[in-house]
Amino acid sequence: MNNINIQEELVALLKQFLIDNGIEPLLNLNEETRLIGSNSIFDSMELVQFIVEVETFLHEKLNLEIQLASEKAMSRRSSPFISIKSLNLYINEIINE
Amino acid sequence: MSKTILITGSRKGIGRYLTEYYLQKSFNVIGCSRSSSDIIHEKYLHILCDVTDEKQVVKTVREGNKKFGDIDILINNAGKASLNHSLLTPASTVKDIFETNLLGSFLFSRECSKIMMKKKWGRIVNFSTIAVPLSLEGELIYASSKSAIEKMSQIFSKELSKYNITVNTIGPTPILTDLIKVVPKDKVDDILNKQTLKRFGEFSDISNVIDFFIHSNSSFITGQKIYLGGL
Repeated sequence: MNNINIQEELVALLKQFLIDNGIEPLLNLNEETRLIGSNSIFDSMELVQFIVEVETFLHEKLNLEIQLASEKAMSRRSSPFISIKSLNLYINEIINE
Repeated sequence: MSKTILITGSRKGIGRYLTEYYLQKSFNVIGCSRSSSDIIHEKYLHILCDVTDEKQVVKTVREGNKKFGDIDILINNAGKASLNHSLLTPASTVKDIFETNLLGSFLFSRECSKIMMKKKWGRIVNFSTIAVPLSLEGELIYASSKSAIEKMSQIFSKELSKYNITVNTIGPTPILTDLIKVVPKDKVDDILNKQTLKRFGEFSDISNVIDFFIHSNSSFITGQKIYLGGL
């Protein structure tokens, strides 16, 4: 399967998610925005919820059955959930396996 | 609008009873089992699913959600029993029992929670057994797998509390189902004698507790376990 670039869609999804959950969206929200860590826009449960949103988006819009929170993702030294950019790369890695 | 309830292991025994019971009460029911069901009802969807297969579980939950537009309640009924002396229990049995009972309940809880968390409402009911508090000889693997389900329920209840999803456990006494038919009569009598109320459980004893757990007024009841028979 060829690579897909869904960074824009993921940023839009993130923005909508923040609005839906009453979290103030950042003005310069982009693919580099931190999703985890001390500077992140989420707490840990909101991150879990956002990952679920992304899985649903991949299934409903792109017909992709992907389990993002896999053992592989969790055991990495550098988490694929750091930013939208890393998430996009990780999704491509999975669909090209 | 009717609430939608997903019941695993709905083809026979307690699962079948609960399926028919909740259909009668006008719920939409998504049932699943490894083989097909003869229940035909406009509010019933049966999906073939091996509860130990992650992909099949994901597909079942998505298919059910697509059909009825929601999943409000999950009843993790599918289960397997094993009665044997520990020294005669093969590793394959341990793996099989834990996969069906614990892994299956976990996978369905995880997937259904993803749907419930979006609307911030949900009810999950898991199945334990009185073999856990009684620590019955010959039921090491079965009781251990159910004990793990109890712990899973308690931790799930904490992790999901933010989303108003309650997670509770029912621990039935022996009931005359296929599962209990494999137990020798003297063994069953011995179990009944250990109960405060010395009789077999009825299907209605189970639905009574589940009705309580899933009721909209039970939003403050989570992480609890209720054993039947007075244990």
